[in-house]
Amino acid sequence: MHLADGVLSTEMAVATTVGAAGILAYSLYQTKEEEIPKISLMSAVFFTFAMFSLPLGPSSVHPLLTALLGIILGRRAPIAVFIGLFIQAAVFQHGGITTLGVNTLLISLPALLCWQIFSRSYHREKSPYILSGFLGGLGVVLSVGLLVMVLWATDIRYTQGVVSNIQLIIVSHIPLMFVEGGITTFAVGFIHKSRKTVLGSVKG
Amino acid sequence: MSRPKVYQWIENLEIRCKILSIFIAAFLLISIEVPLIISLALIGLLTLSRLMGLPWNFIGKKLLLPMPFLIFMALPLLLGEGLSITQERLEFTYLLVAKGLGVFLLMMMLVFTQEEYQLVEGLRQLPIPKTLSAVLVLSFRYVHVWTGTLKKTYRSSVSRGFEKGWNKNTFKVYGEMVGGMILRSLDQSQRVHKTMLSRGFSRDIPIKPSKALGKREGFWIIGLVATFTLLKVLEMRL
Repeated sequence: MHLADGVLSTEMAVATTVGAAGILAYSLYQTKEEEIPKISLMSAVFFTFAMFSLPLGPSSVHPLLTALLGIILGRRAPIAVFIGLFIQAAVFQHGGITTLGVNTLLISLPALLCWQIFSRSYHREKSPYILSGFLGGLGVVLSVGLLVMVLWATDIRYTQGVVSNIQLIIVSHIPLMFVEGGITTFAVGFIHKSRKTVLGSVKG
Repeated sequence: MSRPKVYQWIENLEIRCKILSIFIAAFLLISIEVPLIISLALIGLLTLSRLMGLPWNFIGKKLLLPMPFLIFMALPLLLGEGLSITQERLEFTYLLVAKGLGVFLLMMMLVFTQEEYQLVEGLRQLPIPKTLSAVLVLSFRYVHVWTGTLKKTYRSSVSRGFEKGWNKNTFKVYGEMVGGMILRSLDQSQRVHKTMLSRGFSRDIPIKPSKALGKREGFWIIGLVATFTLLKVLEMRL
């Protein structure tokens, strides 16, 4: 899912880095001290699960936890995403440094949208299974949609051919949509059963 | 993270200067659009890696890591117009792979030429927001803790008869495992925060005073950035 260095044009790499800096500034604004350990731990959870990749055809995909990050962290999700991606790039050379900005945006923007939808639709009395499963899948669809747009805007050659890069990316992420939907359903369901207050605490 | 023994000159180089110059070099490298120039850059980076003391077999093994991704990206690009590969597509694909490997080499120079804690410390000495700096330090710590926790949780599930796979039952197990980890994370985060408060934490994790920049740092910055700038100038002349 993460774009490696060299895939983006310089203009796109610079533009997305600036965009990611903007979204990080929004996310960092008025962060409370007590939120710091929570963000750090979620960043570690995001990182840990992203390291478990599923071999799928010529590539591999891994859980993104996009919706889950949005649901738990709300507007602070981009901080966890950025730090998680940075550690992946710096320590495990997974992802890239010139693509750190675009990779942050690809996960953060859907996470923020999922947070907005969840915070408006969640009621403690109702089961969140369907809503969270939908958002889990939606997070992947949006991330892949953004990735396709970025590649298309970078170079038309990514869209060309009988089996283009974009087609491969879309096809290989269809299973992830269901995997992510399933994991988010049961993760949010478990939190709902165990501690409802956690889900309703991050207002949109 | 195990790393090979490297030469003192690179190990002792001021870390902020290393981070910044490598980031600038990475952006300059991806802006190169001529195959000959990118080849020169790659040869230069391989030579520099050796001059730092990184062994060939280590470099080779590490360079294999991004290969599956690069091949996955390269094949559809090469074969985009059928089996007859055009010169233009060959060049484009070569540039993509070379840039990927070039930045990967730069990252290796950054990551494997000092200890992990020194890298984190160096990042924190850069002018970044205090919150981001605090999250970075804590996340580095928790990543190691959580990787271990996840492995233990998975092993205990397997010992209770869980079989990995992707069906409704395994989704439930994976999902509840994630949910449980998040709840534990939240509980732990509250405990951590209380402990930190009791020790006087105010999102200001003390940073070691940074080393003064010397001649060596000057040579490094000028050498690395100027080389890439020179390659860009050469590219424009071609």
